[in-house]
Amino acid sequence: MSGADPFADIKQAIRRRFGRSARIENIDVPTLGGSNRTVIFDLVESAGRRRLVSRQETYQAEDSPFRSPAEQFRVMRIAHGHGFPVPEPVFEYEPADGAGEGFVTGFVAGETMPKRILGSAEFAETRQHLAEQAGRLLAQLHSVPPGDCALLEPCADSIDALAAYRDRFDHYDEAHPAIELGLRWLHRNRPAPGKRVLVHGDFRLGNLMIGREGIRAVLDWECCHLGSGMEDLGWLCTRSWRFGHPELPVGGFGEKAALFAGYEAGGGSVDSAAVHWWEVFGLMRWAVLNMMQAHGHVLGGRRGVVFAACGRNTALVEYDLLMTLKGSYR
Amino acid sequence: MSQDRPDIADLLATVQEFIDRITPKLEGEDRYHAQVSAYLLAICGRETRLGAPIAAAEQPRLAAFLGHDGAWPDLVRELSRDIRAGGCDGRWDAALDLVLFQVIDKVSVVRPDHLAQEHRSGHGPD
Repeated sequence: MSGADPFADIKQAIRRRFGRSARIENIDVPTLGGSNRTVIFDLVESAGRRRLVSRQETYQAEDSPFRSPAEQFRVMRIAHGHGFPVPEPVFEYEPADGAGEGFVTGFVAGETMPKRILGSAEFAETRQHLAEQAGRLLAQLHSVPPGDCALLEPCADSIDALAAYRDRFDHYDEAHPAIELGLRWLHRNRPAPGKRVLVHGDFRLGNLMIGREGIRAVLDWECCHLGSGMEDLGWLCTRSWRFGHPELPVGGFGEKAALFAGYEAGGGSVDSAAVHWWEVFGLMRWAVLNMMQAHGHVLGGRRGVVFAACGRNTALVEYDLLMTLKGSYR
Repeated sequence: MSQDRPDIADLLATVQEFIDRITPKLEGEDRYHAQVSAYLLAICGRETRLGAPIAAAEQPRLAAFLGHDGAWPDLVRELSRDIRAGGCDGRWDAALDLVLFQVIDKVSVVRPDHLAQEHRSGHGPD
């Protein structure tokens, strides 16, 4: 073989599982950024042709707050087994593949770009029902028996999400009085722990594959853990995820009444004060995650303009956090 | 320190013009990174203009709140420790306003149009 085939690892993994005659075609590498390499391709074998997505981890900070690809894959398989709309887990990479850590899932067509989902006339009808549908889906996810996801018990977010983020914040060792005010408020106003459920942890536009009929699949399971279901509702309502439509608290597309109605119709029970607490938590968390990108840029050797911008954008999230604590923002 | 022409604002504007010119020719991730570069450059421009006056105004505000003088980085660390330990619970609203001042100053440099209308003048909360 001459020259380096950038897809040799994927091809080898495919041949190991689907036979020597299996091949891949129509390869597409979307520019999604982040710390994953995503490759979309057709798997062609005797049984036919199907479109798949490969996700390989390219960067792993020693203090990464995210679940490993192996854990994500196992949780996606559990969710899929319960009929939750998640891309079908196909296989996980093994050391013998030489493809690093990652996995392959089925491809789900649709739109993930928040600006297009919120702005395009094509999705005008879709947006009408999205908050209610999101509520129903989250209720479905939160009905997965947490005992099935015992593998998530040891992660810091499952043990105590607030302590986990305080520790991450302390690790970046930068004085941020605004984040301290958020942490203090969260500490003093903490709701009683509700029912313990499987939490997706990053349920918001950008991680939802949307078609005209609504949510087709829930992507990006790297923040999943066990905890309060109100966390997923609160994160979806966090101001940072309204993408230019701050007047619509649910993801920039809906009202809380619709989200809550969908959640209750799906068998869930809403504690709206707890949802608000998790919104404040979400702002604190998003500020800390922006600090994390700056830390990786300045001290972690993973440099780039986007990571640099994240560092400075921490102030924007702090502003929203303080305005929310003052009661000026909802 | 005196420098020859062009001045810093001109240098930043010159690089900005270059980025603006090449951005439409780029695709995908490169195009996005060029747009983010322009964003970072605009931050640099505002920081060269506003950075010094903001820093000069922040230190006395913090010193007044904490009741003693000190270098700015030490005062910010002390305020952070105080908040964590509950030392500001008794004057929560005052602490919130003090920190909001600081954050408005940061946002004025990073992205002023993120601020609510009442904070866009560059002054703190009422």
